[in-house]
Amino acid sequence: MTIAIITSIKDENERRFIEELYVKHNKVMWKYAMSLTKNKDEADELIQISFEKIIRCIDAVKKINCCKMDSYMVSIVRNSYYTLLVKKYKEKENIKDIDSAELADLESHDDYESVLEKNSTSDIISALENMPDKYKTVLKLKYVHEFDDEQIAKTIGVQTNSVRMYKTRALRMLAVRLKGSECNEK
Amino acid sequence: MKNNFNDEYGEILLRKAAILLSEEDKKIYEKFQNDETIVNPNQEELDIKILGMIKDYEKKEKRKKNFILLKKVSLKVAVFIGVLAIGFAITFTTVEAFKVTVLNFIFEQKEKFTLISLSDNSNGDIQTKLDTKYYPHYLPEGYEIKNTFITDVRVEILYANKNNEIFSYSYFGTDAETGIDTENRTITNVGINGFEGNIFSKDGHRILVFNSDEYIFVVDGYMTQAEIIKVAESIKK
Repeated sequence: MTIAIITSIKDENERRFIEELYVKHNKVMWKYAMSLTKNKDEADELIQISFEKIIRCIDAVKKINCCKMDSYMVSIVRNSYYTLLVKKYKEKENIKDIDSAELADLESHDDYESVLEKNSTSDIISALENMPDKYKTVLKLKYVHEFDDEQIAKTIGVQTNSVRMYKTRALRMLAVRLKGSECNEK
Repeated sequence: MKNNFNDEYGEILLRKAAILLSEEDKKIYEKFQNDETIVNPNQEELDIKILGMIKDYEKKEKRKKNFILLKKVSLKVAVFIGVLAIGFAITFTTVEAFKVTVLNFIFEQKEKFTLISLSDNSNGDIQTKLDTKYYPHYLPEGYEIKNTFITDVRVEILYANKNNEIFSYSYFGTDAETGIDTENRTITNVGINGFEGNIFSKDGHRILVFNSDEYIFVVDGYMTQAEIIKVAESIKK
């Protein structure tokens, strides 16, 4: 009986938490969704997809720091937009792949320390520009919002192993582009 | 060692990238928060849809959790009942006193059936019940009623002596069915109070069966032919 009551309270608390999130953020989320889709109905659909993703990972979402919640909401809407694109237009990921020669070169000279030391914040921002949104979402969920791989996988709709792969690819992509920018400067 | 440091720098690079991306998102949020020009004309509909979706989620979660709880409790109850049943079965088959206690039950008379009583003692109560029934008035020495089963259409009495030697007597309507083990038995024709009967004998064990117009009578036990005939001939109301 006690367990049933606790379960009931937990469910009610979760419901209230999600409702509060919706009430607080839905208008800003919708405006951003509208800026992405340029269509009111699709913007509505984006909000629905976003909250489905939030519900799926509610345990992790509850742990997000309140001052980071704004950026999380924007991130979720953007990720939902790409989910919608894939769903509606069956668009494949437009990944600008690392050149295999570049990758081979990087693997033989894996030196993130020097990459980190020699590049400024603005260099990193430039290097991030062409990175696929999925990789960016993985980085933000992992390092800013501290989701684990399973929760990230549920949010973006991939297998857990893919999360690790995206992270590795993001790192290599960043390193190659930053190294490339070093060379350009020289 | 170098690899570990390298991995660490890799992590730092990614963390830095993630923070920068997050800061960009925050700026986007602030930009739209301050933008009053974009308004959702279907705000009410969207509210109903999303809040409804959240309520459905709550119901689904509750149902899922209740189901899991029910499964756990049912398993525990099933195990408990199983243990109880095994304990009951073992005690019932091994402890005679428990068996008798369990077998002592009373059915209330409703329309067709009389009071059915199983008892391990002869007493005035049983004698009263037998008053309207056919039963042996002669018993071999030392025997007394041990158990009875009495209904409108059937009477069974178990007799025992101090050495726990038993014999049984029963009678029932001629339309009832009963089975008697006659394999490898010698059969002797007898007459009991003008009625035809048979004695089935094997290794000192005898079963005497005879019938009147209405009933079939059976006496079953380890006794001599003379004794079993004497018991049968004493059957009356």
